[in-house]
Amino acid sequence: MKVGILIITHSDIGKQLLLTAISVFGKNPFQVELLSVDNYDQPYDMKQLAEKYVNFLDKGRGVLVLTDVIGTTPSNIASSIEHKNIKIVAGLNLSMILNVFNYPGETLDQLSKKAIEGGAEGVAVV
Amino acid sequence: MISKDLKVTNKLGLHARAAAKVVDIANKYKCEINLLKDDKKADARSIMKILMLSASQGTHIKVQINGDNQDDAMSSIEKLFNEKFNEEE
Repeated sequence: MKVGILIITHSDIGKQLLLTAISVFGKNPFQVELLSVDNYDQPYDMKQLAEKYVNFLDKGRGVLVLTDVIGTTPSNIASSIEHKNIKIVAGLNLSMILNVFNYPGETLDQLSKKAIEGGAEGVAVV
Repeated sequence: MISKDLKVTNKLGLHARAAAKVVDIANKYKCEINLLKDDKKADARSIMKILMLSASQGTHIKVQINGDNQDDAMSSIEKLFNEKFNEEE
């Protein structure tokens, strides 16, 4: 059983990044759920929904929560999730998801490190 | 250890989907596989390390392989390059 992944972002940023990563690898190696946050959403409702997703996704190896900009509502919703076995990484970009998809067998701890490493590696002067 | 120089000939270069195919092949072998471009070295099991080579069409890549089934691994990687990563152009 693999780590589950929950993506929480503004609007459908997460969906588009996820679809692109699936297109690159030709498959989705994880069970992934998406939570899109819009202006009219109530943070408490979103927190409840996020917890439902996390409980569904945790098959024993935990859940990696990926979110976009730290300190914004999606990130704050992620931080409010009450669950014993999650890691939350902000700063979501395509290279972060690609690097996570690269290592489907990793533990939650390792996968969160791969997310940070991939996200950072994708930011460079070209 | 064996090594071979391969040229990236497909139009899009060693882009994301092509890099994912290299990773897929590398993960089938236990040997160490590295791609080298100038002074940059990429583990062939890492899509981001491969993408960081920024290898566009016409780039020469040195493939270095060391370990079990290194000849088979080299053949598979070379075939992928020669077949332009199985992309239609």
